[in-house]
Amino acid sequence: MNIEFYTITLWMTVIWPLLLSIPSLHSRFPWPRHLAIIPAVGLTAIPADVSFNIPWLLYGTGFAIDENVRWILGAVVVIWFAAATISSPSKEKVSSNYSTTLYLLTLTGSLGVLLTTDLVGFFSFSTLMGYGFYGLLIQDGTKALQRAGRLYLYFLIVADIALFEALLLVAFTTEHFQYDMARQTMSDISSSPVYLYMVLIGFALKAAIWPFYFWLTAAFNSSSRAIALLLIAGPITMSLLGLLRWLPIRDDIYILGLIVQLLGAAAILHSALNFFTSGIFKQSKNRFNTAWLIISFTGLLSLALGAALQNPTLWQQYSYIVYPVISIFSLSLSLLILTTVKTHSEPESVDNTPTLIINIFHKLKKWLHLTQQLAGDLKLKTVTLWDRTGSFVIKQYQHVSSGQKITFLVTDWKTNIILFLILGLVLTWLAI
Amino acid sequence: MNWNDWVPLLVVISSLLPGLIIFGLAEDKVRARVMLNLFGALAKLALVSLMLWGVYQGYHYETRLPLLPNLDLVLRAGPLALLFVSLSTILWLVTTVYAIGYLENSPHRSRFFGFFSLCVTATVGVALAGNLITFLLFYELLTLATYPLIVHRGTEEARQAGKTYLRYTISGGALLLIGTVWLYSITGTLEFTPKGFLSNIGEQHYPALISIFALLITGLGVKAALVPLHGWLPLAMIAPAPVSALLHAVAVVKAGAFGIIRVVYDVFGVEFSAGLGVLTPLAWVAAFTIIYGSVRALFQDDLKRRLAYSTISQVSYIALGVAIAGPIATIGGVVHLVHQGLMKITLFFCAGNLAETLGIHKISEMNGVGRRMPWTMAAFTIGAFGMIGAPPIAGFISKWYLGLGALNAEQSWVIFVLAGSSLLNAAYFLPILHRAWFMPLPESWPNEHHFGNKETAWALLLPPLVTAAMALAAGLLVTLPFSPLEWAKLISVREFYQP
Amino acid sequence: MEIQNAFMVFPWAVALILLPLASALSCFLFPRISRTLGLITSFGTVVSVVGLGWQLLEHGSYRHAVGGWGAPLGIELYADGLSLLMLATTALVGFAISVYSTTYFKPTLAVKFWPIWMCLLAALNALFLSADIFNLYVTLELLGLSAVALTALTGSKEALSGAMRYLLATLLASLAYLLGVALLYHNFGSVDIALLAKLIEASPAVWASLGLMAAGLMLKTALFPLHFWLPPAHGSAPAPVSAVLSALVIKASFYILLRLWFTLFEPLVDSEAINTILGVLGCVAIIWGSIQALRQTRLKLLIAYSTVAQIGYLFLVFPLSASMGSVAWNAVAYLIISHALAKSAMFLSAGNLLFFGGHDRIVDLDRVVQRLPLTATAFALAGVSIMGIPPSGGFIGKWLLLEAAMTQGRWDLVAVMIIGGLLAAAYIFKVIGYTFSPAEVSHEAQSVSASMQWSALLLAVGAILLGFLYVPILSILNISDTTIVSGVGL
Repeated sequence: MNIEFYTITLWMTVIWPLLLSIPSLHSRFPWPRHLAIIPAVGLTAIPADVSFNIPWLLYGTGFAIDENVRWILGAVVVIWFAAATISSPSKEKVSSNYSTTLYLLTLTGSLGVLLTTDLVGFFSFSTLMGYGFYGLLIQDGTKALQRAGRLYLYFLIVADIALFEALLLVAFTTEHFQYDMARQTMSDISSSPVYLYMVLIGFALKAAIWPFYFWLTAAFNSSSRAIALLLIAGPITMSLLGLLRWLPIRDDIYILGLIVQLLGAAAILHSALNFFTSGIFKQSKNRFNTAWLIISFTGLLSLALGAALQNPTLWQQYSYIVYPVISIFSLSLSLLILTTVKTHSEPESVDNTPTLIINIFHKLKKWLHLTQQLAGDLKLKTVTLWDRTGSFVIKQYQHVSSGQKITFLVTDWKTNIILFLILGLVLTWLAI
Repeated sequence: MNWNDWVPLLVVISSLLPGLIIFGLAEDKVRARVMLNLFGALAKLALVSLMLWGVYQGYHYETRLPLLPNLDLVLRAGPLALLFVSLSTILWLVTTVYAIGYLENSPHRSRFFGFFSLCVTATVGVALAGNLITFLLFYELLTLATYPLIVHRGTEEARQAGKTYLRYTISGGALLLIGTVWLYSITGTLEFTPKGFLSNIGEQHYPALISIFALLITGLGVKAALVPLHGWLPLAMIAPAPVSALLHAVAVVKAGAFGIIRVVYDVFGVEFSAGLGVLTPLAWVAAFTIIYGSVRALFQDDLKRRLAYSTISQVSYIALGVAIAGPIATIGGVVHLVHQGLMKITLFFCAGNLAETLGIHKISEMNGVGRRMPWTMAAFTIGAFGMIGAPPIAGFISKWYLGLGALNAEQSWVIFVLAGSSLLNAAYFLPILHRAWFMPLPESWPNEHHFGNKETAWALLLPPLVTAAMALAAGLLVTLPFSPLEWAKLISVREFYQP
Repeated sequence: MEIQNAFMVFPWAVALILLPLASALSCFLFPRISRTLGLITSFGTVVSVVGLGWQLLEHGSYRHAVGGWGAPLGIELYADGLSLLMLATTALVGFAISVYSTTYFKPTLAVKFWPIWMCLLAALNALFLSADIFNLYVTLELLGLSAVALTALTGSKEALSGAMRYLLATLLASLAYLLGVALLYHNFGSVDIALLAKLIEASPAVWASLGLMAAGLMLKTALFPLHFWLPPAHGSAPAPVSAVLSALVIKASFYILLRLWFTLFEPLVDSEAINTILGVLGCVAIIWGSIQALRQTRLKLLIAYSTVAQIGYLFLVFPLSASMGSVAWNAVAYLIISHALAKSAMFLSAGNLLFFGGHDRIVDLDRVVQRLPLTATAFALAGVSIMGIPPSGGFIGKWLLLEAAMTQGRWDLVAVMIIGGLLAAAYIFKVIGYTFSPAEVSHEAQSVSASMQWSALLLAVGAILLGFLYVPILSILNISDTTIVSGVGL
């Protein structure tokens, strides 16, 4: 009887928020966001380890909770509860419904990520969580948040592609997707090392590990406290968890461990630099610091991870510590955010974070504009090429006094992606 | 006479007869028309279910009628045929319901539904064809049946679109004809056999066989919209939305892709083709089409055009899966036939809903549509995420198997193509979703119709929800015995492993 | 049993000739009931053909000496598979045209139409049943004159000028043919085909005779470049007349050419040169005719040029019959039949359109698909056969020709046939496209009678059904006297 009750609680933890996310359902309940976390609270309280297999779902997945997961579940539950309490639903009923739906979908995603037992289930739920979180980020509609959301999305998509390739490699090597078995197989020297690279890149992007932290600082800059809390409980914690679960520990890539350690050290140094130049007692920079705290924490973890990559026995000995460490860190950080006074006023118009390295053409365009402005007044005439599809745009500039015409091919972000792809293909071809 | 011998023919006739009767109905006999349409669709569904059950039990269903000396008209229910026939039948039923709602109060409905039924007859014939000449017959019939649907509206633009469509498809048909006759003159048979029927041909014919392959694939590639034979597809968007839905998800484009599968597996045989060296160019063309279609889609503002280019890109996944020549890639290519059909038809249904209810044709007009039509956009979201390859929707499964197949066949460059395609898909689908869900509503819609307090008519709302649910189920429940994936595995086993 | 026996013994072949002749006379004498008489006679021809067919299936090819006087002095009637098929086609198309004409012609024209039409029918039947070359001349002449008379029926300026041109051409051609007959008779003393076939051997006289007869028949069949008379004649004649001319009259002379070529002149025809010339002319006909059809603005002229192009296909039998000849021969026979059905359907629908709108300009076909659906369908289905797209008789013929060409390595012919098909698709779909769209200025519509619409439609459906009937028809085609010699079946 007890086992059955525990099993029900286990899968209710994930199904209940999913059900509630349907707008017509959650509008009938009071406090839907709090209501959704109740099974999860129950699950944390259960003393035993429970697991539950679902062989007919996807490639055969299941849910399970064990000691390590319980640590993180506890932290997550508390943070989500707090976020639910301080999040202020907007005045209109309709948009409040939608934001609750997004909220609940993200919750489902993150709980699912936490509780699934295999890689494919993890990937599916993390996709749900990721896109749900994107929705939450841009829900408020301010320009800075939109930009932050876009950055997040770019990183998310690239990370998902990397993780998909990693999954393919696992499928190529073995048929088992459970964490331990997969890790065991991929740790073997005969399997492809590309898996390791893909996992590292994917989760580094998702967890905003240095130097991929841009979306995190942008998001923290302009979001409300609730979103900040969810950031911690959602993407960051879950991605770190994923890293722990997916990472293979191989003997043969010594130098990778070194690189990871170096990156971790750089992260800590960078955060320290920011800390000292910002001034913690100045109210306006407070939010900025919190992001850097996360970055420094993940940097610390990178240091540890790098060490483990160089010396696999360390992993066996100390990996169990990481779970409680993560949960304690997230709890304390959330506490910090909660206790700061809400100073969210006008978002900073100029974000000092550098534009994406890949966006070379944006820079070129800015430079071009500057030079044109320097060159005097110019008249702009736009000529559209490929009329039928309205795709490429040629802007023709005509200098007013001299009548000289200068033509530029002006591209937008879509073309940038294509050029990026071409660059990628060329590099790949060169590499092969 | 064995009763089983007539079932395939009955499946074909079950939409031909209602179609012919509908032609004769007067415009205002709405109920009779609806009854006939639904009766035909349900009858076909019943017959196809009978065949499925029968094949599972071990029966054979084959109709043979003499056409030429030594060449028969053959309709046979094998696994691949049944896959395509089931897809066509189910989607025809759904599209019929949608079309009834969409074309309410439109002129010339009898004519429309008559040709619609002919179109499905031809598609089912293509699916059940047991040899290349039967395939050719129904393939050309498909061209003839779809032309009146494209020019249905009767405007000058429609006529021009029809003209372009014909230029491409009739030329493609001519190439297919030359290839078929040539093949027949060399081999003396055209029956579809697993692993192909060319293994006994002497080596002196190999150059001819390569040319025949090129001819056949080019002829089929017109309908399958391989670049540079894809020019007709965006123009054909002028047709009403149910036509676009059916054409792009089920009938024309899939018939071309299905033909490519048939030619490579049941005429030439995969190993033989690989030996001839014709699969590599096919893979390149398919890969190029995948990228090209997605790139062109990025720059479209018209919603249906963007979906058209997306179709061009997605159907080449099937060709790519075929060209990689491994059992797992086969699974990926064949299962994508079904998955892409489900997802694409959802997207087109939603696009049609937007046009019908709110007068929206362009993406720039779609701000905030998610609040006005949440269920439609929810279905659209599922379809879009499936196209991007997000789990657990069906598209993820096909991309999985294609990538895995590429790894198994040691063609890792395909992974990059697939990754690039996912990236591009995200680039052109996510902005649509963003606009729909997160942008503020405009003051007024271009051309709004109200349907009481529902967001749109039931006949327009249910079909996309049904197909979106099917796409989701096809992804979530892949391991169940009747899922498209298990079917595709069966087909792959037959082609590669059974003697 | 008795009735069956009577049915079997009855001289259906003779009936096929006598019935229309008698009817022609009666229509002339009793103009008021000419319509009914004509219709009954047409139906009678159909029944006779069925009877004859039954006889052939039971007993093989059929020879009947008229009046009991056999060759070489008397007239013999000979029917084999090919003749039967031609007779059947004539009967079917003739019946449809008779049905059509009952409502098409106004009474003043009708009294002139029916006698001449019956004459033409008699001439056709006699031609297909003839067994000697002089008889063929007689029937050919009768056929030509009736056809000319029908062309000039309306008495308009264009009709008369077209008919005049036709008359001159047909007389010239008959003259050439007669000269050829005379030469042969002078040299071998007989006009019976079977007898001559045994006697003929290559000599200058025979070559000359072949040349003369072939030239005459080519002129009558309107093979490029001797086709100049066809477009004006077919374009300006009344619709049922155009149908008869395109579908049947031209085929008659081609039938004679086929017969003579493969039975009589069989020792001579292995020459590469002649075959190549005819093949080239056929190819040019296909391409040129299709291009000209594409350029036309009037529907009837478009259909007339389409006929010129289709005749080119028929002449491809000559280069392709060298080896594997029977396939090409069967193909051409099948093409003759399907073209007859399809072309007559096309002309009848054009007639309907003309009747309906008062004009036949292609760009002004105002939403015909909605207002005259049966006619538009008839045109479309007939077009499918002309284009050679499955499922249709035209496709089967095209497939067989392509097969023959490919096995013999004649890729040039393959290319020409495919291009011809594409061009045909271009001009057919041009018309169909315009039937969907509204014209700039709407026209007052005259209602078209049901018999006119249905006769066109049923002919077109017949052309499509031929796509499925090749195998049974092939077995009929193979009923013949002569055995297969050097791969050329008769």
